[in-house]
Amino acid sequence: MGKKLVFCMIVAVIVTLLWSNCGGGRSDTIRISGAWALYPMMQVWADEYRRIKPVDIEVGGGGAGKGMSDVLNGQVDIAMCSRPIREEEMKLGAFYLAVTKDAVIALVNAENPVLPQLMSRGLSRETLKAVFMKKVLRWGEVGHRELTGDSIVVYGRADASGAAQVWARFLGDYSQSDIQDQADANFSGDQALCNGIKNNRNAIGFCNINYAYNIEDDGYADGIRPVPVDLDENGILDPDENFYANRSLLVQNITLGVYPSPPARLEYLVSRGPFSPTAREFVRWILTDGQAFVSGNGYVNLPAVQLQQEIEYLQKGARHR
Amino acid sequence: MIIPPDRLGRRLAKDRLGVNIMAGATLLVFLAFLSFVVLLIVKSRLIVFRYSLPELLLSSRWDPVNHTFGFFPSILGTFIVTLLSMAIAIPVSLLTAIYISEYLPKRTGKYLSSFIDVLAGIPSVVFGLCMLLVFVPLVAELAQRWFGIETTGMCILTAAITLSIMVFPIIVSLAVESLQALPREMRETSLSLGSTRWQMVKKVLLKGAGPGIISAILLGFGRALGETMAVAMVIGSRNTLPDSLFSAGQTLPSLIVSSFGEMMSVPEDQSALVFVALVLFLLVTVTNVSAKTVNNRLRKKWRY
Repeated sequence: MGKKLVFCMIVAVIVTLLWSNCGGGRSDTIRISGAWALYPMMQVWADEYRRIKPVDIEVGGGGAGKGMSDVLNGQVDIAMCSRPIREEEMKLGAFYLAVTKDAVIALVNAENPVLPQLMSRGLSRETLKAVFMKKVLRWGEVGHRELTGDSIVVYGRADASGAAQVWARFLGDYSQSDIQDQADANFSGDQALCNGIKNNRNAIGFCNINYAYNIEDDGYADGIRPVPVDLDENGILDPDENFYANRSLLVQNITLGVYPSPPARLEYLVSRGPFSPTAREFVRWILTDGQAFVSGNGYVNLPAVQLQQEIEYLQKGARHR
Repeated sequence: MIIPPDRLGRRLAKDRLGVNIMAGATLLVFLAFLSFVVLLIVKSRLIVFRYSLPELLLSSRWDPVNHTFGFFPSILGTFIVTLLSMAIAIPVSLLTAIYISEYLPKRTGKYLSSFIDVLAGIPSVVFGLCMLLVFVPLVAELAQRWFGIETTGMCILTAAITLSIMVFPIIVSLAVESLQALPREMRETSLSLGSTRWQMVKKVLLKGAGPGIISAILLGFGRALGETMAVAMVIGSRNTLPDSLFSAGQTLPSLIVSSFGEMMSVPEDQSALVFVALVLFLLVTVTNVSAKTVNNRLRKKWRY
């Protein structure tokens, strides 16, 4: 009995040692973790890159902060980050490059009591601010209709997220905590938030554009609708402001800069100091050939000038001239 | 029979080895525990030195991006949710335990209590998910219909109900055990003196099983205090002082679980979060120790 047990333990130890040997040692492995907002795009890039180069790419999620702390601790080679890099992180050696853009949009339930009005008039930034800061409490006031009841239910993010920060900055001089503290309830993750909106006809929230649309047919996701932004605040949604019918059209307008930034935002790749040679090759590919996969996946191409600039930074390993 | 000396030596060596291994295992557990405490204290030094304790513990604004770390609402929320859940769970589980132990036929009671033991092993995410899907809309609906209050259903009350359902099997299972451990003579004597069954339960059994039942309640209390996932899923995570039981709130564990992913990259943020963990740890420790003390006192007082 005892001998059997000892034998099993020895086998277990050997297996563990072998296991750890075959994973970590290879130098042509790129380890990536971080923002969920960039995760799907990175999956595509990794798949495409693996086809042309004999590299192992391990992509994990975890959120922007997880990625940042991983990369600063040397546990991964590249972090994905969906918010501006914080000063403290730069002091710890973070070097970042912008690789693509995406955007956060407001969402309501598909059976919102004033949906036709929202779709024809849009909501101005001021109105959105009043809604999210709980200054306006009823859908009737927003939709210019006489409605009794139908209180606006504001949903926010419970976990610290890039999307919430960008949305708060779009609304005004706010941080994520301002939205979170005003919201009627908060959810962890884009998916949970969208589900919450789907289940409450009076709800409003915000999320990444990729969660608001269907990947298969480019149209609206089930049960939720994007809220158009009345950009010139004239109280009516002009034809040139009306680009929410499908994802491609929205992506186009973010690329052109019609949809403002924020809530459009840059997505970054981060390393500690300059990128390692293998990682640098990969990032260079992302900034050149990799850009071909961007818009088809619901992300936004950076302008050519900016791409060129980022490649220079990549080469130099620093962001200052 | 003569035992060969070498065999005796081997047996003694085995014995010594066994003792050493046991001592080592004990030491390991103790060291792990100690290193947690040290880690929590060391890591939270940064935030405590940079901000004052009242600022951290008593202010109600949690805004890491702007370097503000007051988490009083989470401390208060932890107490409200836990106490409320116990207020719901204790009467229900005690009545259930008494019914199972004293009124049901032995066989049925046995099946039922093993079923309840299974319930105690259900992971908390499962509870959280079920509550999110079924109970959150129900609370919203009923609050509107009965009290005319508009709520999303993701609120302190829902979190408390979730917790009370989760601690229910723990309390019932332990309470049944301590009731059944009482000698049969206690019941027979009481009944032979002409008491009704309810009088027997109330005046004799509950006193006899008192310490055990209190242990059960305290165990449930500890579980409720530290429960994370299920609470985080239904409480609505709002870092403000709640204005009613129907508004969203936050507890210490749910604050930690919803922020840890994003807050690890900046030393100050990380330290703040570790400090929250330290406060939770102290809270749980103080509660457990005082509970143990009370329990020991009662045990002495109610000795039969």
